[in-house]
Order: sequence, then structure tokens, then C-alpha cells
Amino acid sequence: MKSRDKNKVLYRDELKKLLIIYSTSFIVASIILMAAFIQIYSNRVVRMNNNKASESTVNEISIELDAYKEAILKFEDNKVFQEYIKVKNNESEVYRILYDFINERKVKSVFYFVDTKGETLLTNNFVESPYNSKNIFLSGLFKQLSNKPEEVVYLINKVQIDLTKRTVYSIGKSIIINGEIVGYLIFDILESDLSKIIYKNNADIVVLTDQYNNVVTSSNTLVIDELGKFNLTRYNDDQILLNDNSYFYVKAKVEDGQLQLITLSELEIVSELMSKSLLFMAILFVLFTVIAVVIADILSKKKTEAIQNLITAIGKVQNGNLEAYVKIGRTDEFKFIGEQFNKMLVDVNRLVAKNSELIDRNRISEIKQLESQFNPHFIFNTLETLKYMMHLDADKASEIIMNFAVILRYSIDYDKEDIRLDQDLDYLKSYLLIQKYRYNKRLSYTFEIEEEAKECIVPKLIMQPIIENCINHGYKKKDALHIELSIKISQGELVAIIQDNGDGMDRDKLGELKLALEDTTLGSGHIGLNNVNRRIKLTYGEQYGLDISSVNNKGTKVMIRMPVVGGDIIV
Amino acid sequence: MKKVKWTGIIFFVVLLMGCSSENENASRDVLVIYSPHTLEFIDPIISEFENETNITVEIITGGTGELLDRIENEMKDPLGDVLWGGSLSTLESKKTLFDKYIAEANEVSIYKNKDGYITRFTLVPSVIMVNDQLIGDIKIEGYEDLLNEQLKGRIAFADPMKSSSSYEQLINQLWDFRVDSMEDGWGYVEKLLVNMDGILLDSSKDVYNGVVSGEFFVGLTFEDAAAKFVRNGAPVSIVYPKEGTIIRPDGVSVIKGTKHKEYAQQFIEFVTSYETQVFIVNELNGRSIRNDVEPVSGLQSLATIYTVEDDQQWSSDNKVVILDRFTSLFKELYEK
Repeated sequence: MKSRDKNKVLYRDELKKLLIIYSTSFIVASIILMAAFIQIYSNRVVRMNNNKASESTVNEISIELDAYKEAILKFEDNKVFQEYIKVKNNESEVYRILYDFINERKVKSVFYFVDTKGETLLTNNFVESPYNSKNIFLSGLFKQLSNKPEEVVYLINKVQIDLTKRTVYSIGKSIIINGEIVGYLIFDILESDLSKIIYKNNADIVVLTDQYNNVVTSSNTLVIDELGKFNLTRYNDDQILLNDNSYFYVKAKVEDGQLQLITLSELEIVSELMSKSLLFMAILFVLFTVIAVVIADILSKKKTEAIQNLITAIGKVQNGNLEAYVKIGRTDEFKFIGEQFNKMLVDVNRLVAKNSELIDRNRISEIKQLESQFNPHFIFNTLETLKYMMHLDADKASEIIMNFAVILRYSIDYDKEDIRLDQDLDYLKSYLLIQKYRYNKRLSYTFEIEEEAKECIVPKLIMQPIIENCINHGYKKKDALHIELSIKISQGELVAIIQDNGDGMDRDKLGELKLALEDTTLGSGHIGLNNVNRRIKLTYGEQYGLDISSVNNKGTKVMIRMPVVGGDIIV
Repeated sequence: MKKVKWTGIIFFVVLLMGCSSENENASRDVLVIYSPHTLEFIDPIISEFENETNITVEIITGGTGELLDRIENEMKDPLGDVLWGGSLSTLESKKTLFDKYIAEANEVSIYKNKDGYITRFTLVPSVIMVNDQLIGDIKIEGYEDLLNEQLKGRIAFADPMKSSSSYEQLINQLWDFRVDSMEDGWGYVEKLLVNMDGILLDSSKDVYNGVVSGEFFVGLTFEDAAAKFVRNGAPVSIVYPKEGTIIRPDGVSVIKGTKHKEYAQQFIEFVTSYETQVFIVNELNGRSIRNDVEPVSGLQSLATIYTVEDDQQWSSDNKVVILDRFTSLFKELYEK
């Protein structure tokens, strides 16, 4: 698993990195989008809600104030009212009209009808009327009323009626009959009913002020200063700072600017929502990232397991371990690669084994060849034969020398591994001739060679070791030895049969020999035969080789089977 | 890998902790009182009780009928401990909802706790409340005057199904106009319903508030509610029907199965004590149930009021029948 080179980038790590980058970038992207959405949307919602709240409250207050205004104007023309003022009768009728009007209103009020002397004549206030003195005309509401008799007067005017009741705003007008002011009709709006409308508003803080920012009523007393004014530093077009919190801010006019409705919606909620959701998202991000890393790790490992296996195997092979087969439990391309890798290893193993054996065989064959070159026994025997042959028959001696020379030349000739059969036979004949001179009548041989077979190419020295074997082992119990060599082409194969009438072998010995023939190790006792057999098999394939049969005391038959190779030289 | 796992677990734990909410399960050790009285009446008495006994009180207000329904529904596991208020005839018809208790004050009580369930608390005359500013020259002296055409739709009357004071008004009317049989009384009630023009209020509170705010010229209610406004200077006056006024005690009872029986009994002793009754007479315009408490000048003395005595047993026993007849009469007139 260790990468030998630290700088090398593993495919697995790259895959993991890729997975992590992809998944986390998706997470980050969606979180950013989400945050942006929340920011924009919630800001928008706060603003929209604030605007809507402002609008609906302005509407509601306007409807009520308009109703009062209209009622005041109507009263001036009311016959019952005018008659009451004239002759002061039918008071209950006037009361009924006033009570009915107020009971229809959502924002109720306390009504007063005050005469020009400052005396309250009609009221539904059952505590002491605040307007019961001449001094009321010196300032405030009644001064305004008398100064502007044609107009409906709106004024902040706070009067505590009893422990629980307070009026905060007055709407009134001088009552003029026949061009003469006969009194003043005033409706003092109840704070509790105005508050109900204001508290119903969805904005966080709602303030109702007059045009000079004097607060009529407010859902939060924090926004009122010591003078009773709404007075906050605006630091932005539509934002206000209050208690370190910023508020979205809308100011709307009511009753042609007589009143102002200010609605404040906390933006803090948005930022709080933002920070909370960002925290949540951060936690989510960390969580998802951890999960992504874990999953990426597992996935990349799993997906590259096959590659890892292959790399490990290749590394082992590089280090010389040719048994590093891989096991891939998958069904995709990696399985194919693995199988091919394994097959390749098998082939390589087979080739390596074959080559190294071939090299060894050739080496041994060469050693044998060298041995035969300098076989002191053979040379000594030959020279001994020559010694007495020269006295007996000079011609024959010369013949022996000639053949001996052929053998020497042939064995010196290292260039050729493979050779035409007839050339190899020439060498064999020379060898046999020398042996013949030595053994004389005790050795006889016959060659039976098909003409076609003579053209065949065969490995050098393929039959000599067998014949040498016959001679070496043939004289232990018998005096004469006959060797028959027949070579022919049969069923597409080149078949050479070497048959002797020597001692032969019993069954056990034959079995032992056959076993030794197939031995692929090099330490066999029957080097000659075994060598021939293996060389044929290594050169031409397992289906070729030696076949030995033997009958005890009757002789041995060795059959060599080789492919027919003509003209071209097979390596 | 281990570190990664642990971090993951820690995050989950943090998330879970964020989600879990604190579970408050404070044991309830307060006396829960159901009452149809006005808050102005309840508040000073409860404050005094709490200060004197160190018992915390929780008040649940509503119409008598509504509260009785509630007690009945909660019978298996009562949430209330005391029912304080409601006219005798209404309470008597549901006396199985209460525990027996006889207060010490029973000795000096004008009306004794005969049944054993309902301790009589104060005397409550049924009255007509009039808005003086609106009534003008319409004469109101008794029930007969309510049939005046000019009052059409201007009479405040609560549904006697929901308000025990309204039920007392209904009994009063039936009793006053009975000549030969109750049918004569029902004849008056039908005429009154016609003049009410289909307006039947949900609670006695709507009756007296409606008269004060000028929505109605007259209202049929109980004395101390109207007296409070008179005392505060509102332009209203109290008329004791000249046909005869039934003076009915209202009651206070321990709810059956309460977990705070001792507290509840303590409360009944407290509200019928001499001190509390004097306070009610002097400050809250009530009429004491005790014969040892002097009436106050603020209210018309009982001697000058023409009072009538009904058959109280009949009023309690026939409550269901009377209410059914009233309801079907109202439906007959207005739901066609």
C-alpha cells in the first residue's frame, strides 16, 4: 500500500478529492443560495408586512376619524339639535342621537357639548366634565375652536376621565346657527379604543402622532421622549435605531396630515433569523462535509480497490515475484484486466520456465559434446585400433584416420545447432565405422533411411548418444551386437528407430528409465537419453520425443519422433 | 476516522439539545374560584382573602350557566374548587355538583342553608336599570312600563340560560304577572320579548354595560351591579319594579371532589364573616345575608321596596321547563 514515491499522486486520492470537492461545493452553493434567499426574502417580507400594516391601520383610523368629522358637520344641520339649543327641550332626543352615533363607532369617544360660556351642557362623561369654566377659551382646544369656527379642529388633548379611562385626542367644531356661534361639539377619543387598533397592527411598534410628532398613542412608550414627542434619530432612509436595534420605518399621513402613523418593524428579527439559520447551516455544512469525507473515503477505496490490487501485483512482479496473481471480485472492466493480467503471468511463468530449461539443456548438450570431443576412452580406443591396424592393413588405417577426422571436425563445428539428417548420419557413420574397426565382427549395423527423410532438419547429435548407449551397455552378456537404424516419414512425423539386440532391460529397469526420460530436472542419471528427449520436446513440443521399449536379453528399441522440418531451420 | 465519528456525535447532541424544551411542571397549589360576579366586586374581596390566609387564588369568571356547565364537565377531575355567585334557584337545580358544608354564619343568616350544599352569601334584588340621559320623559316604574313602544329594541336583557340574574328576572316577571296561573306571567314575558326586538344578550355584564354606554335605555339586572354605576356618578338609576321585587340570596359552594377542600371551606367562612359582609355593604353596594350587619344608606331600604315572595322550591325544581319555554318562545318570535 505504501507508495514508493511520495510525489506520485494516487488515483484513489484524486477520486476522493474530487468527490469531496463536488459534494462540498454543492453544499456550499446551496447554503449560500439559501442564506441569500432568507436574507432577501425576510427583509422583503418585513418591509412588505410593515407597509401593509401601516396601510391597514391608517385606513382603519381614517374611517373612524372621517365618521366623526362627518357626524359633527351633520349635527350642525340637525333639526332636533338646533331646537334643543334654542329652547333646551328634548334633551333625551339629542342624547339618543349622540349615543347611537358613538355606539356605532369602533373607536368610541366621550362627547361634550359646551356652550359659549364654557359650561358643559351634554356629555356622556359621568365624572366631572373638564370643560366647565370660562378659562377654557384662553388656550388649547377651545381657543382653536373659537378662532377657527368654520373648521373641524383636531388636537391632541389628554384627559384622564377616571382610573381606567383616558381620552387622548379631540375632534371638535364650533356649532354655528344662523351665523352665530352657539356652542362647541367635541368628541374626545378614548385611548383604549385607539390602542386596540394600534395593538392589532402587525408591526412591532406603532406610534400615532400629530403633525408636530407629539404622540397621541403608542404601542411602546420607549419611543416617546420627555416632551411626549416621537423623536428618534433616523440614520437611513427607512431605518431607525432604537435600543441598539434597527427598525424598518414607515411614516404615513392620516386625515390630510393631521395625524401621522409611524410603524416600526424590527430588522433584528431578520438578522437574528439570519444568524440562527447561518449557525444551523454551518453545523449542517460541517456535518455534511464530515459525512462527505467519510463517504468519499469509503467510495474511493472501494472503487479503486481493483486498481490497488493490480498495482500491488505489478509491484510484486517488478520485484521478481511471478506468483503475484490478483483476485478481483467485480464484474466490470477491472475483472477483464485482472483476468488478462493473471493469464499474462501464467504465460510469462511458462515462458520463463521453458527458456531457462532450454538454456540448461543446451548447455549440458554442449558439455556432452565437449565430452565426446575429448572422450579419452574413445580417442584412446581409436588410437589403439590404429596402432595395430597400421601393421595389418594400411588402407584401413587410413580410413579410420579419415573418419576420425570427420568426427573431430563435426564436433568442432559449433555454429550449427540443427543440421540436415544426412549430414548427421555421415557423422554417425564415421563414428560407427571407427567402432566397427574396434569391435570388428562383434559389431554390425544396418541403416535404412528413406530418401525424403534425408532432407529433414534435425537437432545435431540427436542419435549418436543413443547408439553410444547401445554400444556401452550391449556387451555385458553378449559378444556380438547388431544395431538397426531406420528413419522414415510416417503420418507426417519423422520417425527414427534404433533397435539393438543387446542385453535389453527387465520391466523395472525400463520403467525407471522411462521415468528418468520425463525428468525435467537436470540431475538425471541417464543424461544421454534424457537430454535427447528433453531437447526434442523443448524444441518441438510435448507430443514429440523418445519412446523406449525393451525385452530383457533380447534387445532394446528406441523410437525418436520429431516433426518433419525441411529446408527452413527451426530455432 | 474515530475523531470524525466523535465530532459527528457531538454535533448531533448539540442539535438535539437545541431542540429540547424545558418542561415545567409546577404543582398547582392555588384555590381556583369560579365566579359570575363583576371583577370590581371580586377583586377587593380576593385581595383581602389572600392577604389574610396566604392562599393564592385564581379567578375564572363567566356566566353562572356557563360555569355550571364547566363544573359538570370537569366532574371527573375538578379544576375548580369553589363556585362563588349565582342565584339560589340556579344553584339549587345543580346542587349535586357541590359538597355539603354549613358555614358558621348560618346561625345569623337571614336565609339559612336548608339544603346543606349552598351557603347563602348576599341578598340580591332584581332591578330595572335606567339610563337617565336617554330615557327622557318615558316613565319607568315597573315591568309593565317596559312594554312601551318607545323602548323597542332598547331593553337590555341577558339569556336566562346563561345568566342566573336573568333567570331571577324571568321568575320575578312570571310571579308578578301571575293572576290565576303561570300562563298570565308567560303572557307578559311574550310581550316583553316582542318589545326587545330580538336582542338577547350573552351575559349580565352586557346588560349593565349596555345601559351605561347608552346602547340601551333600560336593562334588567341585579341590584349591586347597577348600584356600582350609580355610586360612580353614571347617569343611571335603579328602579325596583312596582309589581313586586323578589329578593333572592346568591350562594357560594364547595365544588365536589375538590383537592383543596380546606381552602374552599376557609373561603366560604371568609366571605360570610362579619367583617367581609360589612365591607360588601359599605364598599360594594351589596346587601348582607347576616342579620347582624346594618344596611347602608346608599341603597333603598328593604322596608320601602315592595317585595314579593315566590315559591322558591318551584323556581328551582322547574328551572329546566321554564328555560325551555323561554327559549322556544324566543325562537318562535324571531327565528322564522
